[in-house]
Amino acid sequence: MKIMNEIKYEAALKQLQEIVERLESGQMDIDALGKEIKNAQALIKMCKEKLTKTEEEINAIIS
Amino acid sequence: MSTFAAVLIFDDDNKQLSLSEANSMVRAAVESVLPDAMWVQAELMDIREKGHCYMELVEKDDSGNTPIAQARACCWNNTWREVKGKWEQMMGETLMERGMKMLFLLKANFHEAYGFSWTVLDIDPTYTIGEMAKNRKEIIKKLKEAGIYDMQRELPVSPFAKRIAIVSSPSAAGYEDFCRQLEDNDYGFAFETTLFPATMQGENIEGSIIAALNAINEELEKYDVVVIIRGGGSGADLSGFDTLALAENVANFPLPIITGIGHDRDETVIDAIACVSLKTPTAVAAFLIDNLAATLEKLANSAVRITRAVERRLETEKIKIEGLGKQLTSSVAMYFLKQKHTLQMMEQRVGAADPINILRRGYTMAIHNGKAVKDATLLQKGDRLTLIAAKGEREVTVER
Repeated sequence: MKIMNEIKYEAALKQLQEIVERLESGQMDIDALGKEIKNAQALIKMCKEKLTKTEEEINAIIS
Repeated sequence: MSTFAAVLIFDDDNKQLSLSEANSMVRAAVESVLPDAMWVQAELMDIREKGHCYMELVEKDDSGNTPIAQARACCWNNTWREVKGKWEQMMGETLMERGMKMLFLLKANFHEAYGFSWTVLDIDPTYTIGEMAKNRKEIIKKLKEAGIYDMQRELPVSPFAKRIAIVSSPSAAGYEDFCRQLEDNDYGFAFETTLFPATMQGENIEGSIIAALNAINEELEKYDVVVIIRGGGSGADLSGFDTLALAENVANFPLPIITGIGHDRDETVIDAIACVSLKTPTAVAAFLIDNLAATLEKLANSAVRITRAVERRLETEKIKIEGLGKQLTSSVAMYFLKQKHTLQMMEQRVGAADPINILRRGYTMAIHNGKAVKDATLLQKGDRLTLIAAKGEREVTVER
């Protein structure tokens, strides 16, 4: 389960990286831009939640 | 007086003598020629005590087999009591017995009816002591020459010795004491004893102990140690233990032999060569119990040491694990910090790319055909644009 999360997290991070690179290239048309930013924000939110949840779980295990 | 006999014979040559007359002449001759007592070395060949003490003395040739002189000797009641008292005082339990080399004060005696015999006036026990010591020394020398003198003492007594082969007389008090003491030991050790009966006094000591050792030798794997024991105060002498054949058998025996043959004077040859030599059966039992007790203590100490070693090891591992735990906590914290930082960076970069953040500073964005207007000179009169501000948007037309 944790491994699944990890992979998903890693994949989300990679996706995020790609979006950021596209955003920064300045080549994007404006409709796509909005959509990409929304995607990026959703990914960031998801990653933060996963990270927080995992951190809590791990702290519960090792403390 | 020596002329007296000659006179009897030669004065009257026609007369035939009666045996008693002839014998009395022999008696007169003996008494005249040997009037004084003298010290004589001889081996005791036989001895019988009936108030008076009757002995048979012998001297053998160098081979020790053929008598070259033999004579009767008698010690009269009164003298015998004194002689015997002196002997016992010096020799303890060692009785006069056949084969013993002794020094006698003898006076020649010829009786018409009983013939020749020596009258014993005294016996010097110190001579016998010397002879016995000499005999022991000779045996020990032979054992050393054969290279077997130290063999028994080089055998280790097993630290777990509990199967005991006993060579003893079953009727001896020392045997019972020994068994009882082993059974009643304070530690509850279960000794297994097997008796190999042997005569522990008199002339049969050598033969019967050797027979017992041979019987044990047939089943060596059943025993850890052999004990030869004999109760003290039995009155038997120890010279039977001082024979070469017995000494060789003891020296060559493959199991360790412990002696406790009950004496407190000179040790015997087998005491000298036995693996362990103790004075009494009681001392032998105590030795065997102490031997196991020492092993028990060693094992107990080992148990304590093992426990301590394990405890120390566990403590070390605990410290190690605690260290690793701390390391884990901090590396986990580090990991999450790094991840959070990465996300934060992403967030900032996404934010920077979002045009809304520029519009909020008062800029507006013109969109033509779905694309941001980057070059206003390309627009023509009448083009419809969407104007986007930080808040809201409007359709506008290019006028000039």
